[in-house]
Amino acid sequence: MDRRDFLKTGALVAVPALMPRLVFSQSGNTGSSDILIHIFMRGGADGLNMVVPYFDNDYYLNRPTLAIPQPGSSGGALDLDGSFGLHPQLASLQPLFASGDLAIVHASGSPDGSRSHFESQDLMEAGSPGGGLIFDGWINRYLEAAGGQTSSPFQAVSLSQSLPVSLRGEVPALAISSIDAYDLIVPDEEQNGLRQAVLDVYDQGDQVDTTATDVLASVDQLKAADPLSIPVENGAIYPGSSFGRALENLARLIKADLGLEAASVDIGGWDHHDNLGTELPPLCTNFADSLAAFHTDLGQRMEHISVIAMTEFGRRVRENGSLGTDHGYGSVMYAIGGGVRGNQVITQWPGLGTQNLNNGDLEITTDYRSVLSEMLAKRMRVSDLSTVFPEFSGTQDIGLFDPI
Amino acid sequence: MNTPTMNKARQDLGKRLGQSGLGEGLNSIIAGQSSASASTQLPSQTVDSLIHLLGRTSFGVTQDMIMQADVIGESAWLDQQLNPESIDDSDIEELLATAFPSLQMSYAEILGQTEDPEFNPAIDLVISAILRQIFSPKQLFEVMTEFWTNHFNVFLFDGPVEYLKTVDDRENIRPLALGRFSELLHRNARSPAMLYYLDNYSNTVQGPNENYARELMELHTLGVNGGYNEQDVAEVARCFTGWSIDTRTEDLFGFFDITHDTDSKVVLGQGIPAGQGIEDGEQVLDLLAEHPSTASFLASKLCRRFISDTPDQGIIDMIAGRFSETDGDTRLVLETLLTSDAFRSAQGVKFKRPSEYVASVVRSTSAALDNEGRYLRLLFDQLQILGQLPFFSNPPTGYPDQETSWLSSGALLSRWNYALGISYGELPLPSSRNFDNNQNQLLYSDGINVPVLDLIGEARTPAAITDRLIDRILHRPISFDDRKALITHVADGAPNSVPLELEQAVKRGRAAVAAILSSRYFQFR
Repeated sequence: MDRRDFLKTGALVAVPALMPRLVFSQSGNTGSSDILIHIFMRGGADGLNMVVPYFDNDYYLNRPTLAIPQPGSSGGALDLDGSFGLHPQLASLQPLFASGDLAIVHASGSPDGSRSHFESQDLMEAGSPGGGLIFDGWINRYLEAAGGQTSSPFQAVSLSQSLPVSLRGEVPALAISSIDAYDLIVPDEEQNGLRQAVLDVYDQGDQVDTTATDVLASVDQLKAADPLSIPVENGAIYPGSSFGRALENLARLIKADLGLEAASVDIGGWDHHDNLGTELPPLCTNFADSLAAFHTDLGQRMEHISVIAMTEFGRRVRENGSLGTDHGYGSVMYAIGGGVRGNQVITQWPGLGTQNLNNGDLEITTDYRSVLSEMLAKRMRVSDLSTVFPEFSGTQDIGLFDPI
Repeated sequence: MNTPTMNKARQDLGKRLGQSGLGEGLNSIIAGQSSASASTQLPSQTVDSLIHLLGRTSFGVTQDMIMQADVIGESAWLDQQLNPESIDDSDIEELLATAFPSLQMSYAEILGQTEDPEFNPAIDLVISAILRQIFSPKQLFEVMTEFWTNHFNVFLFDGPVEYLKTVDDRENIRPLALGRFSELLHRNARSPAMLYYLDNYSNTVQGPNENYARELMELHTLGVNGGYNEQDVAEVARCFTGWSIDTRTEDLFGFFDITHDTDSKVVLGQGIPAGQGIEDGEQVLDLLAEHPSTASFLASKLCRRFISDTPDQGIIDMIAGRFSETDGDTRLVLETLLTSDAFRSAQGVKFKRPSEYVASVVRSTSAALDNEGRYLRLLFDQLQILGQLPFFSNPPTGYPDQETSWLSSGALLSRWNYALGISYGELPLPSSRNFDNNQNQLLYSDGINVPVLDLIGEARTPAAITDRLIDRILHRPISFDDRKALITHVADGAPNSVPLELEQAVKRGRAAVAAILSSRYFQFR
C-alpha cells in the first residue's frame, strides 16, 4: 500500500495518536550512514575574515582597515593551527575544532566564475558541472543513489518554507519552517471530509499532487512523534535567531527518529559590500553559537551526523571603498561531526599575492565537490558518485572524514 | 529575514491596525463591486480565454471583472488595462492617501520626521502595496508595478531605505510600470534607495564598489549569461563612481566630480572617453538598455511572468524582437505578449505566487474586512509566512517566479491553513504564528470574512451549493470526478439534491469554500 492509499483508507486521523514514536523509525539513520546536514550561507561569506590566514602578510596589505589582527592582539583571531585563526566572534566553534569534531577546508568553492549569487548558488546546489543541464539537487540525487525513496516522508527535510535547489528532485522532500506550525488547522468535524476532498482533487500526479499527499501524511506523523515534547539536552542554548531556531527544530526531528536522512538549513545575510567590520561579527556569533548548540544538544548522536556549511563564493581579497568586500571566488567550508577528522585546516594555500589571485580573488584549490564526495563516500557509503556530481573527476579524498 | 527587523515591522504594523475608516472604506469598495455584479445575470458558460486573460493580468479574478469585461469585450478590456490612466482608481487611492499621509510626502518631508517613532512610512508602503493588489481596479498596472519593483529589487529595511523607498515607488516605479524601460533604468540608477541598497553611493575612484555595476548587468539588464565579463563589471563600476546620494537636492541624487574616475573605460567593447563626468554612467545605461541581451532577458522574464515557467524560445524571441523595435515600450510589448497564441494556449499552468494566492482568496470571495484592522495583520502574516511580503526580498535577485521556488509541503500547508481560517473563521492559530504573544491574536482569522450567504445565493442543496461556489470562485467548470468529490464533502452524508435548512446550507457553504480555495484548481492561474 503506498502512502496515498494509506491516507485514503480514512484511518489517518485515528492512527497517529495510537502509534508510538518509534514505529516511524525507518532506514537511513540506523547507523549504516550518517545523517547529512547541509547548511548554506547565502550571500557569499567572507572566508578570509572568518578563518583568517594570519600568517600571510598579503592579507594584511589588502585589508588595511578590515583585517582581523593576529592572535594575541586585541580583537585578534583565535589561533587554530599556527597559520589560521577563527574570527573572534566564532569563538564557540573553537572547542569543536580542538576536540576533533570540526575541520575547515580553506580556499575551497565552486569553479563557476560568475560571481553571481543566483548562478553560483544554483550550480552548487545542483552539483552541476555547468551548461544548464541539471535542474535537481545533489542531495536529492545522493538519496536516489543510496536507494531512493524510503517509506518515511521525513527522509529529506528543509527547515524553511521553500525547498532549496539541493533538495529538489525525484525523492520527495519536505519543507518545514517550524514544527509547531506544521499542522492542518481545520475544525475537528471537518477533518476527514476535507482531507478526502483534497486527496481526491489533487490526483493528477504532478508535483503539486504528490506534495499535497505528502503534507497530509507528514502532518499526522509529526503530530504522533510530538518532537516538541523532546527536550533540548546537555545544557545546550540555541540563539533566538531564525538559524538557531531552525537548528533546534532540526535537532528535534533527528531525535524523534522520523527517518531523516538529509536536511538543509539556510543562513543568509553574508553579502557584506559595506560595513563588514560591524555586520559580520553578529552574524558570526549567530552562526557559531547556533552550530555549537546543535552539536551540544545532539551529544552522542553527532557520531552519525555530518554537517557541511558552505557558501556560494568568497569575497574579494582587497577591501572596497565602503569598508566591505565585493564578490569574490574561493572561500571556506566547515565540516562538523563525529566522523570528521577535526582539528585541522585543510588547504593548499594559493597565496594572496597579486600573481596568485583569480581576478583579484582567493583562488580555489579544493573543489566543493571533493569535500562533498568524500563525505558521501566515507560517511554515507555511496560507492558511485557519478550521478550525484556528473562530470566531476577531481579527488574524492582530501582526508576530511574517517570511514564510517 | 533577521528577527529584529521583522519584529520592528510588525510593531509598526500594530500601530496601523486602529486606522479608522480604512476597513469600512475597503468594504464599501467590495460592496460596490458585488452589487454591480449581482444585478446582471452572468452568461452561463463564460469564455475560457477571457477568464485566462483576467487571471493572468490581475491578482485574482472577481465576478465584477468578468461582468465588466463581458460587457465591453475581451480586447477592449485589455486595452483599458493597458491604459490604466483611463481607469478610475480614486476609491482606493483616496482611502490610502487619507490613511497613510506618508505616501504623498517628499524626501524632505519624510527625512524631517525620522526621529519620530510614530512615523513609519515603510509599513505604510507595505500595507498600500498589499491593498492595491487586492483592491485597485488597475489590476494589470499593479501586476506590472510588482514586476518592476521585483526586477529592481530593493530591500526595504536595509539602512535608510525605509525612508527612501516611498518616493522611489511613487515617482519612479509606478509612473513607468507600463512605460519605457530605458527611462525606468535611468531613474532607477539615480534613485537613492537603489544607490544605497547596492552601495553605489560609496562607489568612488578612491575605493570602487562594484555591487551596483554587477547587479545592473546581471539582474537589471543583460542577464547572467548576457555577455559581460569580470572586466566589464570593474569598468562599469568605474563609470558609476561619483553617483551618490546628496541630501541637499530635491531627489537626493548627486553626482560628485571629485570622486568620479575620469580616465577612459571600455564597457562591452565600447570605448568611453577620458575626461567625462556623469555622462559615463548615462552612456552605460543607454548601451545596456539597447543591448540585445537586455531585450532577450526581459522578454524571458515577461514570458515567465505571463505565460509559463518554461516558455518556448519562439515566443521569447518574438517578445524580445518587439521589445527592441518598440525601444522597450512595456505597454506595446505586453500587448503583443497578451494577444499571442503562446499566451492563449497556456491556460492554468502558472502556480500562483504567494502574493497572488493571498490576494485572490480575498478577491474571489468578495470577503469582508473587520473594522479593527485584524485583516491587515492577517494579510501581512500570510505573506510573511509564505515568503512574499512586498519589498522584503533581502537579496537583489528579488522574488522568484516559478513553481519550484514556491511549491513545497510547508508552503502548501500554509496556503491551506490561510484558506481554511478565512472560510471557517475563528480557527486557532499555531502558537508560533502568534507572533505577538497575545492571546487575542490567536483567533484573528476572522479579520477577513467570507460572505457565504451572498455567495451561495439561492442555492440550498449540496450539489447546487457546490456548483454555485465553483462558478463564483473558480469561474470555470471542473472535472466530473472532482465535482463529485467536492459535493460528497459538502453533503457530509446528506443527500446531494435535497435542500438544506438555511443555517446548514451556510455551514456546508463554508466547507465548500474551504475545499475550493484549498483545491488544486485555486493554486494555479
